[in-house]
Amino acid sequence: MSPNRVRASHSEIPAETQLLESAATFAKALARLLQSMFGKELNPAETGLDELGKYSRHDLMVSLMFTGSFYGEFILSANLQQVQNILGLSGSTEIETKEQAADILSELLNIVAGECFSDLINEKTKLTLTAPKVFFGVVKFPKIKAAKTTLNFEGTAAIDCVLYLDRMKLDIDTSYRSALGELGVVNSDLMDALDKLQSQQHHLIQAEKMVALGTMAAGVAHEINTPLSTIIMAEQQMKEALATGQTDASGLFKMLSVIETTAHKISKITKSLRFYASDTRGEAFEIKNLEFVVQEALHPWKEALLKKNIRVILDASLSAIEMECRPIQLAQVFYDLINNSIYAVSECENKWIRIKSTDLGNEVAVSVADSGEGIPLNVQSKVFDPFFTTKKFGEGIGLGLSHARGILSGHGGTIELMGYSKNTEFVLILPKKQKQNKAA
Amino acid sequence: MAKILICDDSRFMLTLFEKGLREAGLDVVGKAADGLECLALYKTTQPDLVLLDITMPNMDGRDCLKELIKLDPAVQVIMVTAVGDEAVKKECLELGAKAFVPKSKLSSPDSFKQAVAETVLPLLKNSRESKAS
Repeated sequence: MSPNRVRASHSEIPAETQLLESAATFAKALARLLQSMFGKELNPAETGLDELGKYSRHDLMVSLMFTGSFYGEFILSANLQQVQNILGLSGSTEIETKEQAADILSELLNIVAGECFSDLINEKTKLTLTAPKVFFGVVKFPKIKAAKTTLNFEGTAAIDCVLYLDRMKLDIDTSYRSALGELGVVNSDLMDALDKLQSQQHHLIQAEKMVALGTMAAGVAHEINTPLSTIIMAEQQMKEALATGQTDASGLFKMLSVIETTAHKISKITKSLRFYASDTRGEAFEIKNLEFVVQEALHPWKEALLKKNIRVILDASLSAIEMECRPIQLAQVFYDLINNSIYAVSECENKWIRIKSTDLGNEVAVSVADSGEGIPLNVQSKVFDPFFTTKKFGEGIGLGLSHARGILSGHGGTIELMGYSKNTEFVLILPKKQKQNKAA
Repeated sequence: MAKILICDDSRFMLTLFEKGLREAGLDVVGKAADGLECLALYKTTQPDLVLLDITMPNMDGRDCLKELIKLDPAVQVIMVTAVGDEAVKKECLELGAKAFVPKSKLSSPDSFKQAVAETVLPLLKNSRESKAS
């Protein structure tokens, strides 16, 4: 057993093969030693795997424990009569035979183990051989997979050689490999647990949203009821005017306009609620051009922007960015930010919204700024809180930015308010590529 | 005839050593089963050389070697062990052993003769020369 061979067997050969090889080496060395000492030819039978628990029927057993880089036990088991034949102890009494046979086999085992492991000792960590132990009669060993071979002497006598290695401590490499394997299993269990946790968390967020919506419902109902009563009132006035004939087309048109504007207000409230409650968790990541995503978000606002005379400046840098994202979700973020900007600049003289990007290598920074006055210092820390809004009641429920932050987080990104900015500016930092195996 | 003290907890090994040494023309003056017995026999037999096993009950070979050197700084000891561990070998040689022989080299009559010729006899020669001077 050369050191190189041992090393090779440790790194490449499975534990059971290694067990078989080691047992075969032991048996050969033992046969050679017995032969050189007693001049009798012994033939080691082919080595095979067996359960150690079965080896309790022989009336003489000698075992040698070894620890260190190898941890296991080598056992010679035989019947006294046969050992007497092999070792030339015929004529001795049973007690003498037992004592002498145990002594000889113990020492042989010691020498064989020492010889077989002497290479290993220099290559591996320390090896400790404990003094051989002798058992007579039945010995119960734990059921551990062992390699067994038999030394046959002219077909009339036999010594069973059993080698078992503690599988966990078979050797450093193997235990490292098995530890890695176990780690893999644990890891995959953890991943499952994480998946479950994430799914539960999502349910919780949804549930929380629903609870929040529930508590909001009264306020929202009030907010809807107010324009609703305006509509009803306008409608009643129209009916009355029509019934009494005290109206003209322009009067009717004025009232219809009131109804239309008010209805739009209601529609806006309900739309924002539906948008908030929507679940786009299942959306897959796709490679998209950043400008495309921004345009998608701008599209619904085109008319409002035109009407309110708001200039939208899309920087050329946007079209140069290709990134992996959930396009609908990301568009929702821009949609919300544009919505906020439209609101913020509506009172300004110079109305503009500027979106530009900066390539940061693996990441991209996207700035959404507007000509608004900026967010007052005392509320800057609250802008991402759910249901926080500086808008008038009915014009926003304060979920846009908290929703945006959730979406950004799902992309492995962040959203920040540039507090120092003269205007209102939000900066999104997003990875261009998503990590592998990210849950959709 | 050179006097040898042999020490091993295995009666079998003692028998083997005794047989081999006698065949080589050497006199086995004592057989000890552990370190304590070895120390006692060393004092009474005054051997030229000690063949000392390492792993033994009561007092192991290392401790026995230390005690032997205290008794007689010129003691000639050959350590014998089943395990050819370089670290153990180095330790024993540093402690003052003159040589180190693995038991596998003493397991057959031929290899025993060789070990005696290579290791035991040169040491005995040294021992006689140092005693003569």
